[in-house]
Amino acid sequence: MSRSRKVLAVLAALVAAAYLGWRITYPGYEWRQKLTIEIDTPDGPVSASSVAEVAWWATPKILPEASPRDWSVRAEAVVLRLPDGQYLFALVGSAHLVARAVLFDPLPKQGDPYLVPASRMRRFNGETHDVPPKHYPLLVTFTDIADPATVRRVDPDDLAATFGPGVALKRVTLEITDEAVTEGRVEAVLGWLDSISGRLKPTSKRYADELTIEETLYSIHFTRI
Amino acid sequence: MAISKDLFLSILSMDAYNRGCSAGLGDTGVGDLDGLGETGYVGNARILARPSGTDLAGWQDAGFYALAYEIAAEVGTGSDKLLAGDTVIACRGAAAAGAGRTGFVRPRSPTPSAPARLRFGAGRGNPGRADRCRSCPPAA
Repeated sequence: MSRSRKVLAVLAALVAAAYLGWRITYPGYEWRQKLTIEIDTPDGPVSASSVAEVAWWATPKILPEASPRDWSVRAEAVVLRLPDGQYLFALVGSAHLVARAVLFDPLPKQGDPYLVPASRMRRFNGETHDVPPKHYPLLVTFTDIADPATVRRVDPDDLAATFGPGVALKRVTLEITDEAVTEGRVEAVLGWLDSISGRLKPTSKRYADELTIEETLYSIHFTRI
Repeated sequence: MAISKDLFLSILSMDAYNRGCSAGLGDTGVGDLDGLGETGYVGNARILARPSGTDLAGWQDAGFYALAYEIAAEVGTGSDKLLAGDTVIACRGAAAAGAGRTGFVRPRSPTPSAPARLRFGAGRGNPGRADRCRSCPPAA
């Protein structure tokens, strides 16, 4: 082996060792989760799902106040079409936290409170778990599906108030899955979504604590793909 | 106990790191994405609503985040104070725009009707964090 090849081999080994050391010191975990909304209607039950991809990983904690972890999510809202043509959307919200909240209650007492659950998430692959009401995603609909400013919050305890008698939320479930991330379902219904850069429901209110839930919504609450 | 204006501005500068996408502080609930939330008060500073046209997705793509506060009651000691009605802006992730330092500027009010004084705090964040918040693949 020539000298230059030996040098290259040593360099490659050093790079590989550094990469391995990094991965061991700062591990990362990812999984896919399927959120399903089931509702009862006068015409029978209907359901819809959305598959999201979530990742959590450790990061170097250089400064005392720096976070030792980070996360990412690829998700879109669950789009449920009722038999009468109305739509219910379960927003992306806290897609990066919902599996932790549902599957780890109480949380593990040892280790990082986010990375430890993330490291164990795949153990639940294929299991379907009910999402407790306190962890439900934000539900919304539109009075006029073509007008983003008509967005309205939907009370999960009283879907009938929005959609009419006989409509009720049956359950929300979460499953760790190997299914592909769902994409494009929201845009297929909300054709204006990509053209909206500001609030869906514009407001001139001065203070943030005066805003209604609807006035805090942006396109990123519907899709983070 | 009265605190100095600079200390209070520093607190607000750090506050921006703990709100919004990829907030530094973990959110123990699942009701929102934004750490400490994006409403309410920090001491005598009340969080202002973003203008409705703000391109929040664009902010995240650029790794930028900012909050504006209105001072509700004067803060500071001696003659160096924030006055009621002052506006303070704190941001993070502005390093790529050349503002990668923490500091404050005091532009002159162009007209009597404009806010009397404007404070601006720009902090160096982790430029990649907000990007990953939207769509980037995990690092690991």
